[in-house]
Amino acid sequence: MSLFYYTFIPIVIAFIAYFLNKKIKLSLAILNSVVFAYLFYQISRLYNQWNIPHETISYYMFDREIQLIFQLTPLSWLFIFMTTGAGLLIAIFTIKSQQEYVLRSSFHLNFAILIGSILGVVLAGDFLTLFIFWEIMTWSSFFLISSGEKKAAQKASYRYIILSTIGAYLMVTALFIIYNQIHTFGYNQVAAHLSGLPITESIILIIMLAIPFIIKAGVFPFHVWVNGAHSNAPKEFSPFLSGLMLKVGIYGVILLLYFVPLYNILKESVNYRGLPIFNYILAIFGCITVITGTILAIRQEDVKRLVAFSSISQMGYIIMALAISTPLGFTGGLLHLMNHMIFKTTIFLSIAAVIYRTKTTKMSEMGGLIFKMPVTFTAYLIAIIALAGIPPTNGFISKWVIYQALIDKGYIFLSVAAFFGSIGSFMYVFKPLSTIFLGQLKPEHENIKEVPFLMQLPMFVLMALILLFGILPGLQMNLINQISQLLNIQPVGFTLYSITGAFGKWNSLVIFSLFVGGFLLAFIIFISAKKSKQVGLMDTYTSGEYMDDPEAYHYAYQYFRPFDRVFDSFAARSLTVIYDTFAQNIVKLGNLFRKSIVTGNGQTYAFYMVLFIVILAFAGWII
Amino acid sequence: MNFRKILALITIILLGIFILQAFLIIPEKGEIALNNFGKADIENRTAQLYIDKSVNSTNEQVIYKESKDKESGSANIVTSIVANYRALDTLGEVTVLFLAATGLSAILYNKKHAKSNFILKEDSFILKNGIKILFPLLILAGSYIIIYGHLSPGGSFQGGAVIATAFLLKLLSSKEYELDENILKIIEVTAGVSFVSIGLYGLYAEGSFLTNFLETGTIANLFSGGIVPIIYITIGLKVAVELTNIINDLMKA
Amino acid sequence: MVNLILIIALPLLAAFLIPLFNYINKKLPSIVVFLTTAINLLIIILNYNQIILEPVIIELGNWQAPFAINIYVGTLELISITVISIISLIIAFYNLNHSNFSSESKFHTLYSIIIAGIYGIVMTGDIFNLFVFIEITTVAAYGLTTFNKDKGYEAAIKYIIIGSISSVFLLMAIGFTYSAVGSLNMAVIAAASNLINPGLVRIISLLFFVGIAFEAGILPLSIWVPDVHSIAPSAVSSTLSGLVFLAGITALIKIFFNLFADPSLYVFLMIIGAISLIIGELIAYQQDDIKRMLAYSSIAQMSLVLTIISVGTKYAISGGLFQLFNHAILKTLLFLTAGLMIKYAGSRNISDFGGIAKKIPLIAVGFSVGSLGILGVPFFNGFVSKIMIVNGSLNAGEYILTFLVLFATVIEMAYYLKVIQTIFFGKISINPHKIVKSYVPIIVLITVVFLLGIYPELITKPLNQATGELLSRSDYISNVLGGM
Repeated sequence: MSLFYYTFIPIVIAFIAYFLNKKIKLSLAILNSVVFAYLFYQISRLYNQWNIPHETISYYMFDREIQLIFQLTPLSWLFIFMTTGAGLLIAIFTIKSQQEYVLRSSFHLNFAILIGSILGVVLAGDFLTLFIFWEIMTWSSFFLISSGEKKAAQKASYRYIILSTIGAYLMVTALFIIYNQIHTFGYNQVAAHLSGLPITESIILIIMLAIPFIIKAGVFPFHVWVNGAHSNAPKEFSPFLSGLMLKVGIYGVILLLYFVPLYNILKESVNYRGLPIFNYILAIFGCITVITGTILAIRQEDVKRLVAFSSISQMGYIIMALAISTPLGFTGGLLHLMNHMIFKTTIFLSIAAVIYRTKTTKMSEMGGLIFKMPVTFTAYLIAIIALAGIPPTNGFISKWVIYQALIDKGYIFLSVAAFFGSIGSFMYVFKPLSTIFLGQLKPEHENIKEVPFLMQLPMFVLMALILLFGILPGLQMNLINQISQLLNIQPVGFTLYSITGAFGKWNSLVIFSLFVGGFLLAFIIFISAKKSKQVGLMDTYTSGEYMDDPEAYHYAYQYFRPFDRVFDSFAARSLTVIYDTFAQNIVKLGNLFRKSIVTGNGQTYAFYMVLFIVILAFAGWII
Repeated sequence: MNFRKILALITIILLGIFILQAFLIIPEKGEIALNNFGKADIENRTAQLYIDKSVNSTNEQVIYKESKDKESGSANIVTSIVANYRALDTLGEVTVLFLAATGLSAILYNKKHAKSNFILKEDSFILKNGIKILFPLLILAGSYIIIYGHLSPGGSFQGGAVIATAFLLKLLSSKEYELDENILKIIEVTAGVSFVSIGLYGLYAEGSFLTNFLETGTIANLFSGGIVPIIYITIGLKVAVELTNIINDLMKA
Repeated sequence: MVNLILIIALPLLAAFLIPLFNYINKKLPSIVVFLTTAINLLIIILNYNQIILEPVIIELGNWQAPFAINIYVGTLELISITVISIISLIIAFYNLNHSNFSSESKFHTLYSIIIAGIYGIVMTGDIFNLFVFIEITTVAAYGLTTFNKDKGYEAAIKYIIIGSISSVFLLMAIGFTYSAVGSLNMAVIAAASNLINPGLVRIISLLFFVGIAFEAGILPLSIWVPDVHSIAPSAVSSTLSGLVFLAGITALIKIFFNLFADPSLYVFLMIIGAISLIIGELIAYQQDDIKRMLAYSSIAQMSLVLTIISVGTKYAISGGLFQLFNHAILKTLLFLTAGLMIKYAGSRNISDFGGIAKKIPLIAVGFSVGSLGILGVPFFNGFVSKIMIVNGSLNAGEYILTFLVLFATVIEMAYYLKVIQTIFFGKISINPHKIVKSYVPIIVLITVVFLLGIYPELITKPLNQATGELLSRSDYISNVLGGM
């Protein structure tokens, strides 16, 4: 099957299914699942066929034919595989979960377009193709975020699209500055041209090209859209948004730094500890992202916002690892990218399952769901173990590689930030665990049941993957080393269950055996120990008094208050305020124009005409 | 005077100065600027060829009552330009008039059937009888101006206006007097359609819109000028009807 | 080959005949106008292949070129009249069901004539004839504005005041030109324009600019636009915004590229356009009345077109022209759908449209297709023109201009998305009124939008040719005047 059709099929099928959906209610979700499954199968068969030829489509635009190129590399294969995989799981999840959701059909339409466009972005072989699909991706995800059920969804998506568009316009400007000099958009030609330019000029162009990707990846100082978008998007879209959309931004960064080896150009510029200053700044931004994301995540009362901030901080890790440009760093970044996709999708899906049953996202309104929804609880538990970086899960391995890379080069500040983020992540992932699943069951949730099987299935698959890659990272390393070869990066040594780091080897099989042993021991103790007694919710604090503010007494509310207090002043100084003030000033300017110019008086309008001539004459048209 | 008035005055004065500049430009050698009145180099200008009636043909003298089969057979130069050389512009102007009448009647449509605001106290005897005498004379004069438009000064716009005046007077003189709108409409349609149809027939017969397809005859004869007098009659009728319509609508509003 | 003058003559004939048809049947005028526009499209299609090879010049009344009025149809004019004929056909079809005004036949008369006037402005090769057609168009527009009774008169009065002032300036410009050159033919003036005193050229071109730009949507002159467009019936708003602006810009292009090609003036045009663009977008953002918002957006778009075209290079001009035609198509779609939504919701305020998409999905989709097209989403027609504009301005080294254009697009995005979000995702808060749903025009327009987005060469190839013709004045002059 031609590469072009991978992007084309989901989009066309989406429209057909959209019209079918008027007749048959579930056809869209099922058809989408079938299509994604088919694509997933086809794409998995493409593995190792890196030499299938480029495909071009000609698009007559200026006074010449412009070639839109599609190509397959190990790097793009990784992304299309992940995209269709995640798409398939989420489509299966939505079959049951969206029965009461009004905007169901538009959700599926946009979701399929989004999948198609991401495939297009990743398979693109030149910047124009990339840009076209990038725009479609932005727009379809905009509609997806807007279709969230909360009212804030509109404002969040608004912020998202405006930021993305500014980024896209910077990119298109840079592209056309380059195009006007070399008349092509091809990756290699652009890179060759940029390396010929003076260093400042090429760095400015590279920054303009990089900004849309950095915005999409949610890196500081452009992370302001992430929390709103993630928390307000439809519950089924949040996993994809966090698991994949953010990663497409990372794809762009990899593309620029390694695939189009702009790193080579940057090497000429000012260096800090052997690292080009651009990369170092990017790494610092990554590090700030980790810290900000972590601190803000801990403060949240809304579970989706909490996980959204956690996504921000995890993206910081990936950016940091990729920016330091060592083989180990690159490997760690890619590993964490895959692993984060897997465990973050799991977390969001399990939360979606909780929301599906409880209809709320506030942690203080839930509790004690562990016995009601055991599968969801297990999925969440395993995923947060991975996120916190505890063996034997995949999250540990990638974090381990990243630490090695950071310490190896001696970036103290970055390493400290990474450790801070790691400890912080213990805190914030534990908060939903203890408040949603543990603790006391709310009376109104007495009749809750586990979600249907079709919603459990994706969670099972993802749990299995977390453990599988936690034990056998060699499966991932195989592909990563192929990517490394493609990008001329020195491969990292590995076996099926071990990775060679800077300070020794990590053998996951041994660790796994130890953990299994430890777990069995603990389990035996748990079984043999005395059972604890269950206590009703209202017994906890009230002691018979009348409660007029029950929320304040719920222990989920302001869970880490002492910690938050330390960072209160930091959290108040939000970047969002700066962006908002800027936007408001523009609006005020427009209001001023409206009030002063558009008077609605015919005489004034006539006066403008004469005044216009006089001003033009004075400005030099006549004189 | 308040500030706004002064500002407006200054602006207008400045505008005047800038536009007057155009007249003060003294051209350098080989340059063109605005011509002073009466000093234009008529020989080299379009107008001269219109006067000679020799746009397509060679330059020959035009002699009153003798020259035959000139390009444009009307003795009145203005008419030959208006209804022949630049007939499309005239079609446009007639259309503008038609538009004005249509637009006005559309605006006034709702008020039309309400009670008339313009009420004469009493029919004035002198006015009534004077107009009875004047009315046919005005119609005659108007018709003459239209029909002789290609020979003598005047033309269909003027003639049409005169005819419309006749109806204005009639409407002023008596409140019983009513125009038959159906007849007006039929004349309006016929006049407009025949103008365009003459043009279209020229397209069919001679291959170009609004071409003269008749013999032009001897200059200054009544039956001369090809399609010019016919076009003039249609324009005259159209103008007369449109203006009458406007008056009628306004009187009734 | 059918003579192209018919596309002006037939609507006029139809307009003159309409009072008669109205006697026969009240429904007949709208059908006649629809048929006329259809025949016009047919005539243009029959001529298309020939004109694309070489420009057609029709000398009216069989008089020689500089003396008679001539109709010049080059590639630019050809594309313009093709777009105009398609859009006027669509609007005429829409009018079949949506023109139940108290004096319906008069509406169709005026509509038929305004179409003839628009064709005339685009095709004529004679400056006085241009004036006549501009008058026809504006006078017809005055009348059409008043058909929605409530506030139509006030808007029309403003329109008339500004229109008359600017027509005075236009007439003055024509008088000055005639006095200096001695001919009204554009080719003769173009040939002589190098000889005219440069100071005089500047005065004349300024007067021309003021006289025409009031119909082309450039801000201080087109300040009447929001009043008129918001009050007029939607079919009229789309005609005014889509077609009259198109004709106005085409006339400006003729004046500034064929007649007085003085590159030193392009800087002024660029600055005027840029200021008008930013102010237009900023004010559009403030509006809650959907039609006023669209009107300001039209102003901004026209200013964008003027700005880009006045860059004066090949790429920039073809990008600007493409945007011009896209805008005509998209604004027609936007105004028609907005009009239907207004009728359905019984209000013109955007905030009253919450969730309207669930009730009238196709109309809401039509509106959003129009908006996304204007914003330049890939595979909509606006994408290619936006890319071409960026390419053109960067190609000429105009970095600040590129920045301004893209900045304006961001503001534009802000206000269009507000509407889209409200109609699709807002809370349902409307009490529906009964409307006649007409889907055919919307579907046709949506198809055109995607057709041009996916196969832009349909229009970009002729556009490149048109740009080439615009930039070679000597060809224009020798085409019209022959070997003179």
